[in-house]
Amino acid sequence: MSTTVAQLLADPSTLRNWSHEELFAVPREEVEAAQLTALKERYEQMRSAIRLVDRLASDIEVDRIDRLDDITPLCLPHTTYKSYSAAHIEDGRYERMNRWLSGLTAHDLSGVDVNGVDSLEGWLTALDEQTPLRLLTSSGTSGKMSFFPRSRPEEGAMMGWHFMQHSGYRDEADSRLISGEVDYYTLWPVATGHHNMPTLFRLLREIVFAGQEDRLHTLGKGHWDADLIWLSGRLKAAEARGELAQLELTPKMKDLQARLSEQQQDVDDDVDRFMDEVLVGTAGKRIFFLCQYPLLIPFAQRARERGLTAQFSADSYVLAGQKSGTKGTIYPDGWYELCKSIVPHEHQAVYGMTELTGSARMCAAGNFHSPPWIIQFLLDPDTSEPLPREGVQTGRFAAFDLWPRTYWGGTISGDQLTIDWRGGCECGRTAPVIGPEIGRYANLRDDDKITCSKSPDAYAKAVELTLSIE
Amino acid sequence: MDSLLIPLIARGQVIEDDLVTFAGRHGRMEFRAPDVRKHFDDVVLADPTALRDLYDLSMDDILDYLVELGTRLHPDTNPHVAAALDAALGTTHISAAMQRRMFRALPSMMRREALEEMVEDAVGRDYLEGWVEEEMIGRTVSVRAFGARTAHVIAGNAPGIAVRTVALNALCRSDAIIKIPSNDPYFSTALALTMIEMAPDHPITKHVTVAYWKGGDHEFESRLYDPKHLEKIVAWGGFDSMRSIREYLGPGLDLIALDPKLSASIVGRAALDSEATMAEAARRTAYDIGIMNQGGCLNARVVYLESGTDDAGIDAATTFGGLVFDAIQSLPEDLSSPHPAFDTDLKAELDGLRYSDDFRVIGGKTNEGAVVVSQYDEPVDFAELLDCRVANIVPVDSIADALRRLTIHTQTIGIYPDELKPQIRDECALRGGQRIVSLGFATSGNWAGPHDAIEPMRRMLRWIRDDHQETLTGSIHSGE
Repeated sequence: MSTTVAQLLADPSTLRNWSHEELFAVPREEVEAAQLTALKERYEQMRSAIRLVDRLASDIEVDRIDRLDDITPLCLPHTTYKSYSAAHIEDGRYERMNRWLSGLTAHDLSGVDVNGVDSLEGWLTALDEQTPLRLLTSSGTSGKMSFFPRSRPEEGAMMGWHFMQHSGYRDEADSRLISGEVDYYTLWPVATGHHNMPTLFRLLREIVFAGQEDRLHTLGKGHWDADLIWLSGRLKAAEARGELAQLELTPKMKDLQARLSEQQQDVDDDVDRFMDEVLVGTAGKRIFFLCQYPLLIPFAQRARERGLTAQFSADSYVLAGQKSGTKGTIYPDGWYELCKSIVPHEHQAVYGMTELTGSARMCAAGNFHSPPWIIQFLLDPDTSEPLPREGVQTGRFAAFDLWPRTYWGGTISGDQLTIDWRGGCECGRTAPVIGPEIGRYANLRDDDKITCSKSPDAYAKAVELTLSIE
Repeated sequence: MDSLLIPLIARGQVIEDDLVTFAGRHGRMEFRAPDVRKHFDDVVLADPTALRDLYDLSMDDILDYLVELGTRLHPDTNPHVAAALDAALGTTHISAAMQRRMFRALPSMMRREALEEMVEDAVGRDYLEGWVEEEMIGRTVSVRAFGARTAHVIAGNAPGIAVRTVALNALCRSDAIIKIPSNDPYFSTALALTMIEMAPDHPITKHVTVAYWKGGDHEFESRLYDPKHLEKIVAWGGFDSMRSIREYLGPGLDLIALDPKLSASIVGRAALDSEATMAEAARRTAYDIGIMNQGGCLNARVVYLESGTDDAGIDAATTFGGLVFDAIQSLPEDLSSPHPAFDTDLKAELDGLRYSDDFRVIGGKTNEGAVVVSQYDEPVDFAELLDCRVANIVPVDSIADALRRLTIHTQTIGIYPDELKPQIRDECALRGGQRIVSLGFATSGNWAGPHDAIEPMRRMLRWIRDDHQETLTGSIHSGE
């Protein structure tokens, strides 16, 4: 290590001077001192660069940062990224979307030309072509899409960590992803698009598989079409309100529906072919296999029916994760045994959020550790006051990511985490320890309360629904 | 953590054994109650003719009983009700002062004239008292309204719901199994204990059962919700509970569904005529939003304002939003308060909007409530989460644009000015709206009259007829 932790927090490119082991050996006091210095700097720089941060700080009268905890009122909920008026998209007013987005990013969007843009995909492409922004889209339970303003510099930083994270720490498995020597397989239903996962695939194609993009194998070959997701979100919301019958599909929506229907048929045909490719065709080879449990479970059920098990080599890297219940879905009994019977390899996991460049990989002891540029906080779930940074605490997870320079790094999650601030994990890392029990506050509520007023209802069947409309 | 024992009240019997523990709301309290699976035979009334004892009572006997019961419900003099108030203080959506006011108002629900009005308006006393003979074409028909064995899955956002349930059950000469809601774990029990103390052997006391089980307990519910044991289910709100109850329905079992609902307001351009009209409309809007902390289906959540959507219109809507927010903050303390358990998901939604140019968030810093003024003709995407004195003002160009947003889930619609009501009430009804009131009066009124577009009391009864014809024809349609 030829750079200090302070330099690392200021400049993501210096990560290359660190080993995985060194990164987690820095004493907590040293890390937190560097974090505080970097945080003050980030606050000063970005308050003037990002309209949202300035307004928020003025409004809640945060004028200076003296302690790490001082930043927690400036940690933003995910809802920030869907705070535009949906009418802009319905009406095709993308110049208004630009204006909204300009409050969230330090990039100047004043010159972005959206003349002739008449779809979300068109807007995303215009931003890709004319700015360093690479928006990440996702669709929440309300059916409204969020747009997270990541851009080129942060993508590079994030990938640097991605490769280190999935390389070996002491005896933990090494994926060898960065070396380019392993093929990458994933059960994801799409190959491209402005969603978190297809964005990762794009970056892997650019960085690891340039010129040999076919070594990144996705189950679905299609595109995560933002207009399609928008439509299904609209339909979900209409169904939840009982207004589906009143919804009239425009010709544009009907086109989308037809496209989705076509993609779905492909997916059905693709599953068996891909199963042969990844489970059998890789026999004896070392691969990287990304297969989060919600995707792996139905895949394993089908593999069992067909009598197939994974033939790729024992040192292959299997990144599964998302245990039952973590995203509100409870898996069928025996799901883990089923998955292990088809893919008996060691299953790796990460804990992360779209908003952060630094996710945490599950360590040999079954815990998680965030890298130093992520300042972690636990908040009281009712008052949002920071809990003491000592002992063992359970609360709502919030974080400040020090690496981004073009969007605000403060974020508040809906996750309940337990952190042992004393650090010192059996795995060897000295950093504070995130325990393996990770819950969602939304799932921890009383489910037997009845009032006469209507409560929201989430539906998770966007595709079926979209196809069911006539 | 406090632990509360909630006995099973089974038709006059108080059962306190076979206890199981349940978590209360917000993790602040737990309660223990007898395992209903072990007391199944106590909970159900197997013999439908066991309702006969209620037919020895006259309507006056029933009214006397209910009026007397009403006088005993004051929390200052009734230790059971006081205990229920105590239990409710930690678990509900309203402040202690509001909770006390609501409990103190319980006796007035059982005023004789209010009960008589309800009976006369919904059913007609004669049909409950005996057979009513009517001359019809070619025949004489006698009709009488009978009671039924009924399970009541009630809402817990107001103790009045349990009082109403007991009153209707008595007036209909029915047998009630009341499922306690977890958000009001004790009041129904307190009510039943009061009945037992007042008249332990009275048939009305003997036809009320109050039990707790976890909603969705399939083993228990599939046995209970069976026409062998019940003729009717009255179910209040809750999307999930409503859906789970519908799974048990089969021939012979009638569901009276008081579905989950939301309410809205439509404020016409006249509100913006002068400072005085604006202030008045804002004050009325605040009442519809804020009374009882927006915990009821009748509270307004989205307010459509016919301000226009040009710059001047948006400015007017924003000004109006400020006035509404101020008016919410000045509502009487025993009717409305900062929310004791502000919804954290809703808070996250507000925080997300706060710095957007597309919405204006007024208030909402902690738990004081908020008004979100849409800057375009579009409600917030989380409109169904609006609660805790948070409302959304949506500027529209015309009343027609507001009407388009009403659905079958819209219960009460508060309208300003009054002259607008007769012009749009048919359209409101056709689009799903169920109750039309002058702005500001959403939370006023009593139980008489239709509810949720149905006549619940009529539907709780079994309408029996006795046909009488002189000539043997074989068919009622061949009387030529």
